[in-house]
Amino acid sequence: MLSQEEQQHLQDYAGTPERLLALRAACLLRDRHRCVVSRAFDEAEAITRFKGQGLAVDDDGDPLIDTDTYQYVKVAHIIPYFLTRAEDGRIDEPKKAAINILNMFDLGVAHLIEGPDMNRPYNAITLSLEMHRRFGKYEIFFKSVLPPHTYRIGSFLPPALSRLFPITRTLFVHPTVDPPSERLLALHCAIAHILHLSGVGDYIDKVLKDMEDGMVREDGSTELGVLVDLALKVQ
Amino acid sequence: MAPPAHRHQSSLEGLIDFCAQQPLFADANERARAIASFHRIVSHFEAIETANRRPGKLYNRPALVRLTFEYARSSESQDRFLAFFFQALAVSMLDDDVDLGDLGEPLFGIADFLMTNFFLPRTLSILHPFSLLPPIEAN
Repeated sequence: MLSQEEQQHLQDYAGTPERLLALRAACLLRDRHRCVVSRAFDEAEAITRFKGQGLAVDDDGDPLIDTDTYQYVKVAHIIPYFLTRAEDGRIDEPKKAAINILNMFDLGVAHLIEGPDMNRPYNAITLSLEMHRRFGKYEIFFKSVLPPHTYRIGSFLPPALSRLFPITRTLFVHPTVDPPSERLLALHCAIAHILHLSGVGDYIDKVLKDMEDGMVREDGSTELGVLVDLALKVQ
Repeated sequence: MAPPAHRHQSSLEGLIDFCAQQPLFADANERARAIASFHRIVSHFEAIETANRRPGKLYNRPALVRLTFEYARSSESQDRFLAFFFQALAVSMLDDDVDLGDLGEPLFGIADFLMTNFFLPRTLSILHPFSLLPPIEAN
C-alpha cells in the first residue's frame, strides 16, 4: 500500500480523484457505457437504470433487454503512468529515460501523455474487466483500419481463448469528447507485438504466476530481482 | 550480483538523453549502411541466444532490441534508436566490418535497459492501483 504522503504525491502528478472521475464520466458518455471490444453494456449502470423510473434504455434510447450482454466495465488508460520509485523510496515522476525510449518508438508521442494530458479522454477507453486485463497485459491490440475510428482488434491469446478475435469495431464518437487516440493505440499495439515476439510477455506471465503461487525468492538472478522490485512498487 | 550489463544502466541513461539531440545521417546511403550493420550485429547474437536459451529466461534479448527498432513508428524514431544503439556499443554506424566478438555484453545491456526502464513498468502497470480510473459504486 502507498503511504498517505505517497498518495498525495501521486495525486499531484496523476490527477485528483475529481479529475479522474470527470475523465471516467466523459469516456463512459463517449463509449455509451459499453466495452469498446465486447460491446457489453455496463452492468452497474444497467442496474441503476433498471431501478429507476420508467423504461430502462441504453445510451441510444433502445430498451435494455435480456438478450443484451452486461459486464462490469472500467475506464482504463491506453498508456498508463510512467511512475518510478526514487532512490529514497518516494514515488517519483517518470524517468527521463522512459520518455526518451517512448520517443524512440514514436517521436513526439510523449507530449500527448505528459502531465495532466495523461488524463485526457483520448488516452482512455471503456473496457470490461476481462478485456481490461487482456489489454493491460498487451494480449489484445488495436490496429487502425478504414473508415476512421475503426480498428481490427487482434489477440495473442491461445486460440481457444481468442474466439472473439480478430474482430473489427468502429468506435463511438461524441461531439464534445475526444475519441481514443489512434496514435496511442498504435503505440500500445507496437509494444504488444514486441512483448509477444521477443518472449517477454511469456516471461512476465511466468514470473507473475510464480509470484501468485508464492514461489518467488530473491535468488540472485538480476531480472528476477528487478521484477520483484517492480512488482512491489506497484502493489 | 551486479553483472557488467547492470553497471551499464546509468551510463545508458545519460547516453539516451544525449542521442536525442544528435543529427544523424549525411544521406540515405549512410542510413542504409547503418541499418544493415545493425541487423548484422543483432541477428548474430539473436541466433546464438535462440540456440542457447538462458535457463529460466523466456525472452530473447537481441530480439527485443531488434523488435524495438522494427516497431518504431517513424524513420526519425528509428534514427534515434540507431544512434543510441551504436553509441552504447561504442562502434561506428558506418563500420561495415565491425568485430562482433566484444559486442555481446553491451548489446545485452541495451536489452536490460529497455526492460528495466520501459517494458517491465509498462507490463506491470496492470497491477498498479492507478492504472484504473476510480470506479463509481453501483446504487
